[in-house]
Amino acid sequence: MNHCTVLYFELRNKYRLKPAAAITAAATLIINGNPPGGSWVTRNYCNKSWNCNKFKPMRKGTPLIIILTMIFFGCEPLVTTFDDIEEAVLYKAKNISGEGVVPQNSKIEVMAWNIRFAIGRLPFFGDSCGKRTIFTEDEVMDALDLIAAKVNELDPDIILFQEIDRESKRSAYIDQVQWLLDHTDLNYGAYASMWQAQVIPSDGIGGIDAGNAILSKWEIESAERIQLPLRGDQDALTLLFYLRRNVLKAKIAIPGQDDFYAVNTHSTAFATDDTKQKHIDTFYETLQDIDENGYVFISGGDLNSIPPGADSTDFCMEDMCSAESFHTDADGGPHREGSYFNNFVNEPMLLEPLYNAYTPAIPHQDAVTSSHMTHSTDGSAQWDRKLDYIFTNLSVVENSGHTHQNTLMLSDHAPVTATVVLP
Amino acid sequence: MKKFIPALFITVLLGQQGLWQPGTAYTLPEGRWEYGLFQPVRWGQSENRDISFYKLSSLLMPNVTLKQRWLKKGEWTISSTHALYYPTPLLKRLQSPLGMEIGGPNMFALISPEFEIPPMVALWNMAIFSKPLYNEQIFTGKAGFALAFGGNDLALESTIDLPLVYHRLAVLYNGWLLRFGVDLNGRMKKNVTYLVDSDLFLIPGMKGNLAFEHKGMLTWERSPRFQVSLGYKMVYGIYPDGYPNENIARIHILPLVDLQWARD
Repeated sequence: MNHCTVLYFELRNKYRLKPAAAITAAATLIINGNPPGGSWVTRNYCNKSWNCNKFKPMRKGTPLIIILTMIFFGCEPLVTTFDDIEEAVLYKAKNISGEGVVPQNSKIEVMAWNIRFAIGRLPFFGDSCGKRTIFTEDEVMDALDLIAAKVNELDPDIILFQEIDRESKRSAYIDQVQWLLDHTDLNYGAYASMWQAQVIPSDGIGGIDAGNAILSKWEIESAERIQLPLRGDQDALTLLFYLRRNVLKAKIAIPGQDDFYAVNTHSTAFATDDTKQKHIDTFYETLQDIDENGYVFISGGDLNSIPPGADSTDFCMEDMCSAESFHTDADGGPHREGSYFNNFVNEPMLLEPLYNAYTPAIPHQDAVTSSHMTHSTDGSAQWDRKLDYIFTNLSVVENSGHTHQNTLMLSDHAPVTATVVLP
Repeated sequence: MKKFIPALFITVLLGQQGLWQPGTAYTLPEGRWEYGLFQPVRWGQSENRDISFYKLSSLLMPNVTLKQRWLKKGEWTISSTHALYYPTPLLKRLQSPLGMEIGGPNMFALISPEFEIPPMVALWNMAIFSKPLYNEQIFTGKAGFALAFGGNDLALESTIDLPLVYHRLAVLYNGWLLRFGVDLNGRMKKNVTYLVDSDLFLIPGMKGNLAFEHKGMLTWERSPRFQVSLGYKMVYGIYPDGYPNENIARIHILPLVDLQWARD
């Protein structure tokens, strides 16, 4: 018991003070000690049987510091910032099913999917010429039902989700990580936020917590959130409230595997400087670090980069909204943020090191074909570019890589899956 | 002691006349004006009635509050307040604070522009009871309700889920709410007073159906016509949430500061 508690019981028992009076008297003594002349407490209650002098007074100003601490640190920050490396948030499904099951034939099914915070193709202001910001609980639940149905149909063992929300006003505050764990056969999850604030003072976005998640049938032993560099082309105020993207790295306890990692990321979409290069570099270095230690990984996500050799690097006209115009300048600009993939030297070849070092779910020669496009901004059109990938330092079963293009209305990204052979 | 008794008498007298004490049942003396940076403008319209309004928000949210003293019996004073707000222009402005004519029209918007804001009025009614206690303290109890009209078509998704704001605007979405409160005004030194208060907002039938607010404030009375206040506000609120919980509790502590002036 601390001395405040001791004092409280002493005052209650010896002096038969009522609880409120005892608390007040104890607090007064703790804060003031026994000052010269005595306070009303010391005058009334200090006597030879109770040595008030044993209570050292707080330094002057200590109560003020306590109050100021409460004011400035006692509540959540307006915008959450992150350390370079932090522990990720771990999740567990309400009901665990098939835990500890050894992968059949030492093969696992892996999926990467940007689920657009479960609003399907509804017209969000930020990415599809839409005018909406906030979606109803029914709309989000309907989309989650469809996503869960697709997950259950494909039955992956590990999923790398991007743009998954929890505690976001725009998606009715539904914790989508927990919901998907509770409505699929996945058992464990790890989450790393890329955008967390009590309020985003723009477009009525309100409170937000959106990020990347790894869901797994097997327990996630540990997971860390690796901070990616912030955009270099924004003013300070915008940057304060803007996304803080990350690489999410999780160690998964697959039976028979000692050091198996899943790595998930979502690179910048809208930066017009070389921020995307830094994001891909950090992702690559994270994989390299795992590989050089002799460990194995599956990785991927929405890299917001086209495959080397893609037919087009410019989707400004495809993505253009009414009242917008692009390519009007002599140099071919301006370009639409997020729709142009040649902002800096070598951007079209950004993923070459990944293709060279690791095995992709979709072989490079197939990745540039229309049957493996994974994204379009317009739900009424077909997929028109590939932005979503899976890479591993293991081998991928031949022809097991699929781009599930029959999900056009479930998100603005198609899921990619592959069967990976464990060592 | 000789100095103390007149000071006590004056304090109690002024207190019972409601000087600098908008939260009590006491009304301002006739003809007195009080106004602060953030406190409302108050005017003693008669000895038992004062009228007030929030000046800054009045530009976008026309409002007026009438306090009527009904009974003064022994040490008890009983009054009621009736406040009328027209929040529609303010809420519309919060959809595009900088105005559509400035680039990035949705910058700083706290309500998404996709929502229609209908014409609405809110009427807040409170019964207030005040009684002096020993040691220059005044105890005040409050109970009341608010009603709103015209908010039937207001989308629930357009709420501003922030402390102080959510539960006060909740009446527009829910149609009604209840409010209870207690205040304790007192004097620490000759020219230093304090206020400790608590308010409870209940919004039955709505997500985020409760808020408890507590305020502590110290005021330095430089003269009968000017004072400076400093304090804090603690808000424990239940806010809307989604799966797996319907609601989430949050605590915020906010600093308070105000400068107030008066003239008779």
